[in-house]
Amino acid sequence: MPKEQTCGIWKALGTCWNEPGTGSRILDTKSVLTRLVMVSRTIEMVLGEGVPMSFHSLVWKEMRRRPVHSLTALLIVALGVSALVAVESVITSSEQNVASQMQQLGANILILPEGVTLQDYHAADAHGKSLPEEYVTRIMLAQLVGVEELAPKLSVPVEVGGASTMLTGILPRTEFYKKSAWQSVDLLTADLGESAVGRKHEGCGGRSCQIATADKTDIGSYATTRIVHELDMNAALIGADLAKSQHIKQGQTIQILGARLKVAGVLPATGTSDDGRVLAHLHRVQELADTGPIVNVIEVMGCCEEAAGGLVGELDELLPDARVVTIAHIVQTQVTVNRLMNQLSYVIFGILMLIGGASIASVMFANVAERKRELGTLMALGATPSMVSRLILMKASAVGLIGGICGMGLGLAAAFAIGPQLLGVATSVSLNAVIIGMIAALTVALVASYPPARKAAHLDPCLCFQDA
Amino acid sequence: MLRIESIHKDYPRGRSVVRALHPTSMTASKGELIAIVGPSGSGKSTLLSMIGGMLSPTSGRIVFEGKSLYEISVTQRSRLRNDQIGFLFQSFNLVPYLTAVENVQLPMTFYGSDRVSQRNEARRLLEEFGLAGRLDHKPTELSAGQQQRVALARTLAIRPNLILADEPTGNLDPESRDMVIRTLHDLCDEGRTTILVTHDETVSASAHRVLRIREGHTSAASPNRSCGAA
Amino acid sequence: MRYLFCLIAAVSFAPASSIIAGTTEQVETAAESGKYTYVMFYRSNDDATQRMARAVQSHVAEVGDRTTWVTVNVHDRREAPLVKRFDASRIPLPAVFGVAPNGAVTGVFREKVNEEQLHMAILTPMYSDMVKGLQSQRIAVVCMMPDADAPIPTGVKALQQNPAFEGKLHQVRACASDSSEAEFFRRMHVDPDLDAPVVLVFAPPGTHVGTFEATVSGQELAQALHRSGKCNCSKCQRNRRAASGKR
Repeated sequence: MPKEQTCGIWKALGTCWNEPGTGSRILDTKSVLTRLVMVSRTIEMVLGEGVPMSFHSLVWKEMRRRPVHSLTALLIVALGVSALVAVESVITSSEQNVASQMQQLGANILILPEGVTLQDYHAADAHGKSLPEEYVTRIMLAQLVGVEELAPKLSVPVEVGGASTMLTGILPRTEFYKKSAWQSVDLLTADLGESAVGRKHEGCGGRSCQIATADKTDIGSYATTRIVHELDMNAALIGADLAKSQHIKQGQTIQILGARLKVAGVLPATGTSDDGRVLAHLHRVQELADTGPIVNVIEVMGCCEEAAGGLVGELDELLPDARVVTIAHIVQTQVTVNRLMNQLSYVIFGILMLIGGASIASVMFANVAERKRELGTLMALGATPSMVSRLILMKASAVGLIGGICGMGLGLAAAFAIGPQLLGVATSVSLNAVIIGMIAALTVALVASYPPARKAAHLDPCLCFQDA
Repeated sequence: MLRIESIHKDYPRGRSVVRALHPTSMTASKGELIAIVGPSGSGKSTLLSMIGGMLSPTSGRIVFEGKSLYEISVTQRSRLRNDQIGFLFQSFNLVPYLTAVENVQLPMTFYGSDRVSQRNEARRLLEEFGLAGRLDHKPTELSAGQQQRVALARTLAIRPNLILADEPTGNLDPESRDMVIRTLHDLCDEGRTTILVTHDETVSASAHRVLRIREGHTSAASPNRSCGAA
Repeated sequence: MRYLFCLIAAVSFAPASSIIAGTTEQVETAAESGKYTYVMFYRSNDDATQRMARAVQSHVAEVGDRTTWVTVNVHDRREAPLVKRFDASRIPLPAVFGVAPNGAVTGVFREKVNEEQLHMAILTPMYSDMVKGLQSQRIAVVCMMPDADAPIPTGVKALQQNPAFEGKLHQVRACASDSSEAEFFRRMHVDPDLDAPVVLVFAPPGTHVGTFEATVSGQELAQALHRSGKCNCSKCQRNRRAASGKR
């Protein structure tokens, strides 16, 4: 590319401004429009004027002359693609999130107060209803086959350093060890073959070992296991995001609900709502919030999926006043919702593509009608009918392609903006939606412009004459 | 060079047929300038379109450079037009979104690939027509005379053997008109054949032969004067 | 003591609010005199509470020389230390705890209890010692000896000297010749007619790691512990970390 053109591009982008001492000047708002026009001219220069004109550059030049004509069609295509890409990206992220939850979190059963409907695992404690904490002991003492760990939770809204957040009470493993040790005699009897109490689930490793190992006592393990081994009554764990926004460090003391809690650790980021929470000992939270011995949810870690399936019935029987749901059920609900959203996004995409297609066809028909004399002249000068129809199809492809790219950009921007806000998931790109969106946009543009292209190819070249 | 053998053109209109051009025969030799004259709607443009390979006659043949125009494929005909037939229009028919040099370059881009030489050739032609300072101007930025000079340059860009002109001086001032007539005669002198449709008596008077059309009927092309005497 | 028993038996059928205080001291006193205590927690004097009280009362009446029982209303502030010790406000009530003289909890029964269950909560001194060890989160190494003079198996000694298990073992020694431990032998499925010691290893909260002959080596015991997954030696910790890393 000639040097002057290269510089033209940089100039247009505002990074090669010819001002002494300023290598790269920051764009000011005043000149944004001017720069856009310059970028457009630079592209034109690259495509058409800087190098000798080609047949293909006719399309770009013609589009530049009548930008508004194609804009509506382009906008509709862009909206269709953006709807698809945004929804699909959020769905993909949501599915990945669910999958990673399934993989990372041990809990496979949730016990909720009656009447609580739940679609998000991480919102299991954010419904404002409660269960008596004795349910936890009841489950433990029942020695149900396959129960490995229990994680009751109670969340109350609090302020930390002026920021609103949730204080979540969790019960450390040592509390359970203490209670399950009350049943040592039963368990010994069972293990020595005299009783059915404390049976292991076939194929599972049996109940958790009660010896504190280094991997269990690492406070950061909460991020993946949702269980802490030990937690002092005056200790708090801080989610990664909250620690970052409030500049809270390990060892620091924070004031919550009138009490001073020492930060025992900052949890690694999980990409979930846990990142913005404060965790403390459940009994301390109950005391500070003056709630009495209640919890919002009890997470049950069954030793395996199979055991979890069987446990639901037993838990239902044990806790008739509670709602017992499996994570698989929640995942299924989420998958159903996702599937619905997925179908909806395709319906919206389809409708917008249809409208976009109709719009492209209409724009192209109007374009052909408006350019009759020009197209006739091209034919008189030697362009074949197929060349003329190619001009129309190329223009439509450009509309589809640019619309698709704009839609992809819009969709991804929307997904990255609304994904974490609405659904609390970190968005990742749905490559499928991007590919499908782009291919569909291009196909719709080509199919919709085929009739006008055919019409253009069959134009009477005599139209170029004055008498015609 | 060009032989028209008893062509006529009918257009269907409802259940009846309208004859736009009655059987016509004529020949055009190399370097000849033939004027077609007649009132509006008499069939001049129909004849010119058929000679240009853009409108097939209902019957008859047009043989150009040994090839029967309507017995070859559409693509071959387009290629032949691009190679050997130049058009000049009353309204110039320049592509409005292209610059002068791009308009001249346009017919060369359909089949050619050496774009640099195409551009250089376009520049050279425009410079010859005194438009060196208007190369990158769009048609709307040019006067009528300048536009017709660009159109002339575009016609000549493919070095045609046959030039078909439809009222080429219709929208021009006397000075520009003279320039166009002079150029066409120069082209005749170079051995190119020109057939032009005109209302302008001055223009038709300068042609070698004049073919008159009235309501689709042609009278024999009468010899006018010798070539190059414009 | 008989007076106390009668008093408690009487109040168990009275409205809950009238139950007397001072049970913390009673549990301590019972422990000092080598008796088992059944501590029954309740919220209200409902049918379940009365049924449970009757069952406990009937059992205590049968084995009164070795046991005593107390009732505790979890709402009674004066009983707060006992309620806190057993976290009774957070357990399904009524519930009864069997507490050995050494403080080990030998049984917890919620909502209903029967004679057999209460009976099972009475342990021999060595058995309750072993349970106390398990409840202190240590590995119980039980040596069932033919008589008091028999030497501790060398394998057990070697295991105790293994630095990886330092502070993590709780050794219990029971003699077949000691008639008070006959029940312990029976429950451990060890024939008291022993020629040589038998070693049993348990991990908290109550997992039977294995039963070994006297000739077992320290290494074999360590290996059994490693295999059971209940071991906390540095090697097992490393392996567990590696396994959780892979996961």
